[in-house]
Amino acid sequence: MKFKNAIIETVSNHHLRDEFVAGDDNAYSVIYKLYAKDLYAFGLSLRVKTELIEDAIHDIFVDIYTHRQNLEKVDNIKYYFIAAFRNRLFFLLKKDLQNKEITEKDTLRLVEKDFQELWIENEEDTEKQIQVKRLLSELNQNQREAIYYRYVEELSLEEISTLMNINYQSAKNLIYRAMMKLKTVAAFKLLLIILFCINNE
Amino acid sequence: MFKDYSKYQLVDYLTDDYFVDSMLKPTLQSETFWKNQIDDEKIDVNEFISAYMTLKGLHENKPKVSDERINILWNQIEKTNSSKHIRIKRIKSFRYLALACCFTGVIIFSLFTFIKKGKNDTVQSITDFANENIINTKQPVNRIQIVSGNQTLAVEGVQAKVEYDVNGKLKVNKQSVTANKQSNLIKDISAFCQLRIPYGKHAFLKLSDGTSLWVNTGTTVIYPNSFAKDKREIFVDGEVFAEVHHENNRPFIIKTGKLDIQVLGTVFNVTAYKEDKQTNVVLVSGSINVKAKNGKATIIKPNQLFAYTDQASTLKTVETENYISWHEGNYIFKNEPIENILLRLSRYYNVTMKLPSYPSGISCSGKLELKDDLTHLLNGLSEITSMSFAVKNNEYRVKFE
Repeated sequence: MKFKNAIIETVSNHHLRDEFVAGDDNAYSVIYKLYAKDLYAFGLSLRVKTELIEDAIHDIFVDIYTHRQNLEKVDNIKYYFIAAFRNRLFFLLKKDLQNKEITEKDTLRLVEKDFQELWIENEEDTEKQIQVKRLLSELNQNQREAIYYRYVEELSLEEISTLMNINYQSAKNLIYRAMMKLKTVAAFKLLLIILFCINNE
Repeated sequence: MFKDYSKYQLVDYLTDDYFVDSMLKPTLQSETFWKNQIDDEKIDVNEFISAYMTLKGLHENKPKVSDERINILWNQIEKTNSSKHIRIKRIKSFRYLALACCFTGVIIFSLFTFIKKGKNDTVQSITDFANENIINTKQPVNRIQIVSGNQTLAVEGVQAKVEYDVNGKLKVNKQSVTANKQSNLIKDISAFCQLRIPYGKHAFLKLSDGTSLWVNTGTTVIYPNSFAKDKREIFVDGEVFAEVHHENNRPFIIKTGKLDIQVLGTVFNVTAYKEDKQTNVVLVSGSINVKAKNGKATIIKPNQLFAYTDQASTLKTVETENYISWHEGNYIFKNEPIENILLRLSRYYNVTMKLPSYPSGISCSGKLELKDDLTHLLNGLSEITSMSFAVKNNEYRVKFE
């Protein structure tokens, strides 16, 4: 019983990083191909508009190109990019909303409101994906973000807590409460049934 | 070795690190473990499978991104980079040139002193002297120091005015240094002097040829007791803003750890802290020739910034005001990453700042008056960005949230 799709090759990307830092532009494009799609998907999962997601990815990759020595001592490259992307994205969001007094949480709330419609419908979605989306829309943005880090990006709780600037226990609670919430949603049982059916095909 | 999972329910599994890790990144060991648990009926299989299914559902819920979007974005990134890259290349070669010039300068200077002395003992180059005296010594002094041979003159206060007249006579803060000290300081004509500025302080240095140097915090300037007949050569670790006195037949060369900068008579700024990867040269007027250690030379024109690292160099047009305003006590910056601003401030005020290890993504434009209290400046920055800071034991802890 395994997630075939989910087996992440735990190949260390350090050699790539070193080649890039040493000035190899091929390594740069490989790094882009490795991480850009995931960052894009993460941005979408936060329901930020694609224009800003693309700007943020553009900015962080251009930045790292001219300041490649910044990567030199980075151990977890994936985490580095997620953190850089998150910061840049929130910065652009704030600029976009042109109101410097709002806090990060407010930013997210505003985003959420704007993109609620965009969330559910996507014609290519399978029944399973639709159900998962419905389920997730029951959660608040923080919970959704934490769950994305934990179950999609497979970050550790320590990494999640640093990223979201909360302590370890809060990160743990955030995920725990999110899961408790999901369990109570009626659609959850339906989803389980669907998942069982798919699995038995 | 393993927990008792017999009472575990769906949510317990989903928040259990071992469970999540073994499902997302299964190992032979973890697979065997869970297989045994199920086979031996140690756990509630329904809960386990529900948890597995939920995790799978969540895991596969990654929004789809088309390859096309990613490729289009890549093309844009490459476009931006290549436009920057060309500039970098130009700047780099300029630095190389400057370095070469400095290097040549050093050799000529050495030769000059060598001939003058008329002795056969080897004459030390300014770079060698710098390597011995800067690379091996930290910037520990808490007072501004003028060092000559084994004589050290310490100056009180946060800033000093150090002036040499045409005869090489020294005045500090407009007061002549007494004959006794003076004679000691210039006893050996071929020897080098050092002006050492600790972090948190700065100085104005006027050299015997009429060149003015505004010397920023944490900087050491090495200069000879008297310049050679064919070239004027100094070494800088740190940052100086230079107004070089024009002399057609005697080029002025500033050597740094990575570059030599050769000029005839110009106004420009050099930032070359040995602990920084990047060396910057900004030209206000005139023309300069930069040579890097690998021999690559670049010519810098007015209003250009030459930025050099071991990997790359860039040349771009900038507003020079942003780079030189510090010598008038202002710090002007445009779209500058906040990390760079904080690094500059921590040097200027000689404080330790702890920043998060990941980039903030915040850039700022504006003007800070460096005579203001640091806390006041940081409060200002906190107001316009998401930055916050706390002071503890003279250490500034900065957060970007």
